[in-house]
Amino acid sequence: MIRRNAPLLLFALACALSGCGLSATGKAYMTCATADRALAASRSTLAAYTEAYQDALGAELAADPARAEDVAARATAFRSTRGKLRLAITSAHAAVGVCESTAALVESRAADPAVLQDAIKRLLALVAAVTRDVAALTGGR
Amino acid sequence: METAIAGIMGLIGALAPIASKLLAGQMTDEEARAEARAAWDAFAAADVAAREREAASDAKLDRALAAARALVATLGGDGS
Repeated sequence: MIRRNAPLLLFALACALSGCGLSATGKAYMTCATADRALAASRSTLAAYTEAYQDALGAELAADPARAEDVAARATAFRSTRGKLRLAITSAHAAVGVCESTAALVESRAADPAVLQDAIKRLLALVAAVTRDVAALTGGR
Repeated sequence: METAIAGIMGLIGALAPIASKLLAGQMTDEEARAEARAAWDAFAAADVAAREREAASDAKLDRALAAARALVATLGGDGS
């Protein structure tokens, strides 16, 4: 349970820490930085897991070439899941960009701080979901 | 399991410098903005590296699959 949610717990901890001594927009920028670091870690984890999983499939294939079609089917299913996770990570990264732009607008007083609050809320939910899904694929088995 | 631990350790490594600055009260809004920019760029670099690793892994498995299929086709039946 803790292992599975560790990225999320760390993310929440870092967000809580980002409250120290900064203005509202400073906190927003720190939230964006934390979100991007969490997404980068998830992205690297996904790549490392891809290597480990496909190497295991390769070893299975070397031991029994007749299982080629079964291995191919599992590789296809895995790559489909990985594609969805890649897309989710990319979308969350784009949401970081939206949050940063909103923070800049609030800083220049061209936007309502409530809009920034909403953007941060959406960003945190999105990143939490993505890190949880990547952890479930790579560490939850 | 190993990859999950590696991911968590990577995350701790990435967050530790930020957390220590914040706890020491050393970070200003300007630094927070710069940190967000740096994290954005770090993500882009991680994404490119990840895509390269995944492409290499995909190609390796695809080659192994092609070789296994060729072997089965040559030997016939179950490949024995």
